[in-house]
Amino acid sequence: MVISLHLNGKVETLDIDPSLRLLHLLRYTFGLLGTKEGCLHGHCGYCHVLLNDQLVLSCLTPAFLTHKGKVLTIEGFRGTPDYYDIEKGFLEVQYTPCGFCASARVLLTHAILQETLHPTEQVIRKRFTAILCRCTDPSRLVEAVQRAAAIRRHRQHAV
Amino acid sequence: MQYNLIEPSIYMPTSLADALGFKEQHPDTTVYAGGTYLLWNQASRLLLLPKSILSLQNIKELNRLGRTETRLDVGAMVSFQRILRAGPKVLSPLLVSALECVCPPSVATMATLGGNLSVPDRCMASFPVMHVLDARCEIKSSKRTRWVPVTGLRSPTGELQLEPIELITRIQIPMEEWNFYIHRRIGSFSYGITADSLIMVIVGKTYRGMLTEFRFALGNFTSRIYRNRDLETLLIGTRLPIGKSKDLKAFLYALQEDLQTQKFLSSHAQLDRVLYILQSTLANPFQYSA
Repeated sequence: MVISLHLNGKVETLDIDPSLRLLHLLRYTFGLLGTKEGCLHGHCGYCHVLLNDQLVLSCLTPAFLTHKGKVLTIEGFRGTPDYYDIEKGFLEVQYTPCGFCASARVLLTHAILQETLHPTEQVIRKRFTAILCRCTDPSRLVEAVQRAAAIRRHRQHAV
Repeated sequence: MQYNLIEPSIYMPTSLADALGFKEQHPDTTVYAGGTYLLWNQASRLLLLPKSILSLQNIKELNRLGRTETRLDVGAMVSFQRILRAGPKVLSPLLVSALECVCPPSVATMATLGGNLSVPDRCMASFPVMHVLDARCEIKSSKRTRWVPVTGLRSPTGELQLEPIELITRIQIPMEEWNFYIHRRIGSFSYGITADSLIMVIVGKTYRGMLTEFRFALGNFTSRIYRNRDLETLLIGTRLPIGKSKDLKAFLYALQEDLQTQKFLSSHAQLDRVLYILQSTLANPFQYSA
């Protein structure tokens, strides 16, 4: 099956097996290893990517669904102003997630900030249950996301 | 569902008319909404897909979410996460609690309400709460449109009452005020779908300390749902809190008999749990006030 997709801003056309997961397409066909492979059941949340600006689990998304869609992985997101807000917010409160869940946490933070620039502690804690990794202190996570939201608010007002 | 190793044929229409036309020509095709049911429990490297797939992903008509004063209109392809994003000012606390219980937050961004109601072989997740709230489904084929209450979506034996050429396109959820509600997911795992999983929904309305409306439903791993309107009426008109009244005892006894006759619950432990929750709720329903 031939599909055409916008991957991190570039148009890619390729012939795929429809049974392929988006996760494996990204990791093994395009070599985008920032999207991590975990349980393949949708429980761990390590494989989050943005498909048409919606956060999806790439392990539970067949690759054919990306046909004519926009896929954004952590590699494409890095380097955007939105990424720097999150990075700066995380660094300011010295929040350092592990290498396995960091990409998913950044994309999930971006998804939350797209919905609201004033995320409450309750919302942040609830949404981050989507990622099972317990590498860091949850209270630090809340602080980091709220700091990133403040930085993004400030940037948007400045613009 | 039939799977094969031949490359599946996939159709991804962009309009509802195209999708309904395709469904009429290919009634055996498997409809792909959020995909969480189809891909559930597949840990293999390649996905095992049905031989023909109709993906509704790109149909904008099915992605609409609207609200009037009396009801919430949810397109069949709206994900649980998007419904929950409407917030507590739009959604009733019961609906929030029920939708949050359906699946883990990571899956909630993909799972859809229409897909969840169309799952052929089990009645877990959103089905009991939609049943109790008297939600209605808009069902379309290329020739006609009909509205079916969720209560009529399944036969008493649990079969889905959808023609092979039909699709659920919209769900209407009435926005009624309930004075008390309770939604519980019972089982070994919080989001697990196992033989001991059970979903229980209780809602009620009161007026001047009297129970004026009471609804109660159970959903489990099978495709059947338990709701007995005759039993519900037994409690209507009783003064609250019911506590140790004869009405409550009669209701619980009749319910126990009925559940055992219908063999709806898988164990005595489940039965005890259901009766305990019902008794404690009705003893003082206002602790669960909406």
